[in-house]
Amino acid sequence: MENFFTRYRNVTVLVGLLMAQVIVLATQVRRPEGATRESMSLLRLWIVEAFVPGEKAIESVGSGVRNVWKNYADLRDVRAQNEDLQAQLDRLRLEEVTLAEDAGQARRLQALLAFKEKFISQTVAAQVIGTSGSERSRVLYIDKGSNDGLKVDMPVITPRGIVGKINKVFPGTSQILEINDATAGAGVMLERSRLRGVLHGTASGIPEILHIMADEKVERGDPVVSSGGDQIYPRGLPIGTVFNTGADPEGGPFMVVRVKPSANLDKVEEVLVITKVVDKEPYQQDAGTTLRAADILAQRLPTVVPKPPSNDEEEPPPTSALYAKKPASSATVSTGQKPATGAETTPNGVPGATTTPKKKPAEATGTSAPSDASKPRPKAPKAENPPPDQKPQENPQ
Amino acid sequence: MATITYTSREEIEVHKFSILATVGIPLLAIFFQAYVSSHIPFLKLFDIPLIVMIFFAVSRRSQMAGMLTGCAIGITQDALTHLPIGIYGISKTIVGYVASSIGVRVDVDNPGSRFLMMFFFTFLHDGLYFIVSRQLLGLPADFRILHELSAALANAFLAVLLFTLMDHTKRR
Repeated sequence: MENFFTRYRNVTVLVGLLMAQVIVLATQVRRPEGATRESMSLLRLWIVEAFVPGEKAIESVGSGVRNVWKNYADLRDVRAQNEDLQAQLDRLRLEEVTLAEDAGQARRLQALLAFKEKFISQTVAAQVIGTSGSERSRVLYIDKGSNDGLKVDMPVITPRGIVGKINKVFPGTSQILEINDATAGAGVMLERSRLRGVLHGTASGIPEILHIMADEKVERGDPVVSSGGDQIYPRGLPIGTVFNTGADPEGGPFMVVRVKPSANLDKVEEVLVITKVVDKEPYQQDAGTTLRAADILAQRLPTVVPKPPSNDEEEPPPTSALYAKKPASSATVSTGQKPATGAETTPNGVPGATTTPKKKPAEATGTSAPSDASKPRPKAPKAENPPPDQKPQENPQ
Repeated sequence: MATITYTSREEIEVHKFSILATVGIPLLAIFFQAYVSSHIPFLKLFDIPLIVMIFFAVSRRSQMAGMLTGCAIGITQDALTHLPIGIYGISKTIVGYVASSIGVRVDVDNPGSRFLMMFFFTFLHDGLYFIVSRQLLGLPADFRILHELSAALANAFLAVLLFTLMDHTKRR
């Protein structure tokens, strides 16, 4: 027996090493929440923490040098950039008027649908300090960890789109699993066609959306956004664009939609970790204190001040004819008060008008409001303009 | 029974390394791979720790040292990924053992043989990695033959250069 081990010592050690590692692998896969997992986490923690200080130090020095050079280069072009930006600002101001109107319309429709949005309320900026060094594991390491309040499964983004989510958190660093890793996934939606699906990473690094019926119309360049269905990524964040489509590899009635990520995942330097997402129902602010963008615009635009009515029984001004078919809406309008200050409106004999005194006409009208949304909406405030001597008191702005 | 070798007796020279080189070079290789590939993405095609591990294995010509070095480097690489610890460990342990076994029989100081050896070992390593991750663990992994061949070719070219540099750390 002694001769056997002496003679085959190397092979025995090899087999022993392999067996030990196979057992370690098996325990990690079969018992994800056990004592063995804890010890493996410690091993991973020690190794990661051993490498991180060096990476941080080099990154710090490197970014300092880069910043000095970048500042110098930026200063050289700043005058031309300033002129360009000024021209861009002028153009955007013009576009703002149109967009504000569209945004107001969208908010009204969302409120009608009781649409609940998730808003990003808090983020932490972090710098990428390393990777796994392997294309089989598409992970990044950032310079923020649990000491900075980061937790597992927090989404990570750049201004261009989603990068991934936090996979592991250590005291001074965190591991981000990129969205194109073969083990990653996300709930997505094709923005144009509103088709929903699940995005999976692949070994080649090009994520795919599976289980979309082959007869659906999906075109190259279609934007892909997060659907919010995975409970990790907030709804509506850009993920990428459709790169191409292909047949289902399993021969089913589906197609494979390949997506080109918006964020440059191969060269991410700085990221934002979303640490807090709040559910917010749009358009739920107190109407007495907040005005919509469209309302503000309507007040700024030149208006024709109508003559004050001689008595309460008189017919409303012609612009109120838009609301004539909607009793609930006309109830608010006929009080002679602006909707924003509707707290003191009187019922005027119309049921429901007193139950939502602070809401704007579109909300107060219930189901009839969608038809309001399709009509020019600033008419009501204009029609309700009081005599000039009262106007400054009613305008909170 | 005599062992068949493809080298003369003089060429079978066992090299030794200082503790600094033994520990420092593999750590530096892993650090370089992890840090620099975040700035130069195409570096992920290379596996510099594998090159270093094979260099030590064939230079020492000791199966025990080869597989232990492979095991240590592989587990350290595993720790930096998000996958279970042991995938790189198993692959590199086997490759380390085979590389040190071949080092006894083949002249590994010749650039041509170094190129061929590195090409073969990279391909073997990637194949073992695929088998462990896909067949043993059921993880989503593809063996893209053209990609693996090009990675083996790139590693072989780089290995010829790095082996020449690392030759200076040998203690005779």
